[in-house]
Amino acid sequence: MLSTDEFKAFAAEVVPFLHVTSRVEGEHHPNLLEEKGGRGFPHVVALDAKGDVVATLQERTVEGFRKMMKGAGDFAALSGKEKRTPAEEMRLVRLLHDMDRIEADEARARANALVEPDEAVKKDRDDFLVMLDVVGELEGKNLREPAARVEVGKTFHDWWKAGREPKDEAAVQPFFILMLDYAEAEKDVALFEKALGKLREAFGSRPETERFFKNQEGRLAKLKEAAPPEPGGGK
Amino acid sequence: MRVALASGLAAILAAASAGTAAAQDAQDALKKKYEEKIAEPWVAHGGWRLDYEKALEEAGKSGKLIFAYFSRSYAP
Repeated sequence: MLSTDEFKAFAAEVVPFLHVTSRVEGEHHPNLLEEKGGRGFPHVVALDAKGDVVATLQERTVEGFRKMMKGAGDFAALSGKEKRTPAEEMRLVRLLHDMDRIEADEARARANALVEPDEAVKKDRDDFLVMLDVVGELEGKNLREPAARVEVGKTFHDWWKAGREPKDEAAVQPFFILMLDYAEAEKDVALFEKALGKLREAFGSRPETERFFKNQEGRLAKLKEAAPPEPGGGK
Repeated sequence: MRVALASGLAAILAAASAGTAAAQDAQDALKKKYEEKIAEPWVAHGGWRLDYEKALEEAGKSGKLIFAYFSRSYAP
């Protein structure tokens, strides 16, 4: 990806900086990765001319790089503004939260404090709040434990029945993936199909998800095989 | 006793030298890996700035933001 013409065109719009941690004695900035919030490789962020992180990467594609840099530009413009519209404030809250500059509680408080947001901003705010709730529900849970996964999946299913559905990608994935586990535990074929359908809508077009969806189709087939026959059938 | 001390000291110095030599070999290997990494085509021909301070200076002068990509050479 970093050798493509698409990336080269993108690189001309920014200052492309590469830091290679070598562990050679005396290397410059041996801890720069950690200083910029990285825990593993590769790590990608946008920095301003002071070296402050102004955006983090959500999607590792050239389009994702562009979105990150746009977010960084928006952040610079918005954070410098004295008076922001509700839409601008909502955008800034999202950016600050994405960059881990504010915690969920502060993000929630600022989103709820918007003055006279219009319908579009209200919807954006509500989507953001649902995302925070989904992410909050995952915190502290050991999701390697099947029982924990089913329990969280049940919570998400209850929210869905009550009309709460995340739209932010970061929340859609765990919301419906854990719902699959709950559906499987309950032997609920219809629910499994609906949750899988939602995941397909959101991510099905991405080539890297092919194996994931194939695996889920396998789970669904097993669930259907084990399902009791429909009552009153075969008349 | 002096002989025992001298041979003990010689053993310590020999172990230290062997250790120092091994450490130097390890450093040389890390340097080689770094050189190989930055010689890879995507790095060598990608227009990457490898100097952090110069990248900051360029960002300040050009008004552009920095796209910072962190990688490593000491392991795959």
